[in-house]
Amino acid sequence: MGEVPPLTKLYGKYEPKGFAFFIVYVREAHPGENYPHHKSFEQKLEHAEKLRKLEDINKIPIVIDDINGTAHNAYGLLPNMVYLIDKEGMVVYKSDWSDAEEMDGMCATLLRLDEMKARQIPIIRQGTSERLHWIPMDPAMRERIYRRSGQKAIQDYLNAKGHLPYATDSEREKSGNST
Amino acid sequence: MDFYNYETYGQCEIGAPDFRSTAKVGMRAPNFTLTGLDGKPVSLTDFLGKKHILLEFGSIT
Repeated sequence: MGEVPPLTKLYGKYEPKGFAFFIVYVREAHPGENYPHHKSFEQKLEHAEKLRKLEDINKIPIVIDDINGTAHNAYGLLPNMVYLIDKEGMVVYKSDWSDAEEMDGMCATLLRLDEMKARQIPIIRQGTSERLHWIPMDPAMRERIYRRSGQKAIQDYLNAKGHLPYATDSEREKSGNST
Repeated sequence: MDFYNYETYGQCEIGAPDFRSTAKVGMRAPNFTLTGLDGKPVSLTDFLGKKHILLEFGSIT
């Protein structure tokens, strides 16, 4: 998953203002010797508990999807997605990666909406915007996660054909996979 | 073979097309029922009319 400290910071800022934060535990993105793919819900729960301990997640509740990934499927199957849902149950923001700055901006936008509603300021229309973001290569974080999962996770990553989006050129050469 | 809980990274096409076409911005969020570490269920409907919700998906790997 994404970095926990920035998320915890956002939690501290917005939880008191009417937001509920959840970390949704889904399938292993990079199964390895230490954390293999889930064969039971109990195992998934165990992994989630380990994540809580390792990353020191004491404030934000971790909630676990069922073994078939029902919620994960409904929300689009990516490993590190972020969604913001307003009080009415409408999706107001979705992202394929955890970007604390964007999340901060969007939570602030929802607070402005609360304020407009409280002051009965009429809303002309509901607008939308789209944007791209660029995820920096973070070899240290990647290394930490793969080592945590085990050698298999590293090898599978290097073997994966077609998508090595985060591999360095030298890693691609080493893996013999230049596509 | 369990396609959802894949054993090997790369066995499963990462779901980018699904991400764009499901749970779109401006649409009603799909309901969910998840389980807390304490074993208690958590559903989207518990928060409707009460709180904004931020979900971050992830795993230990």
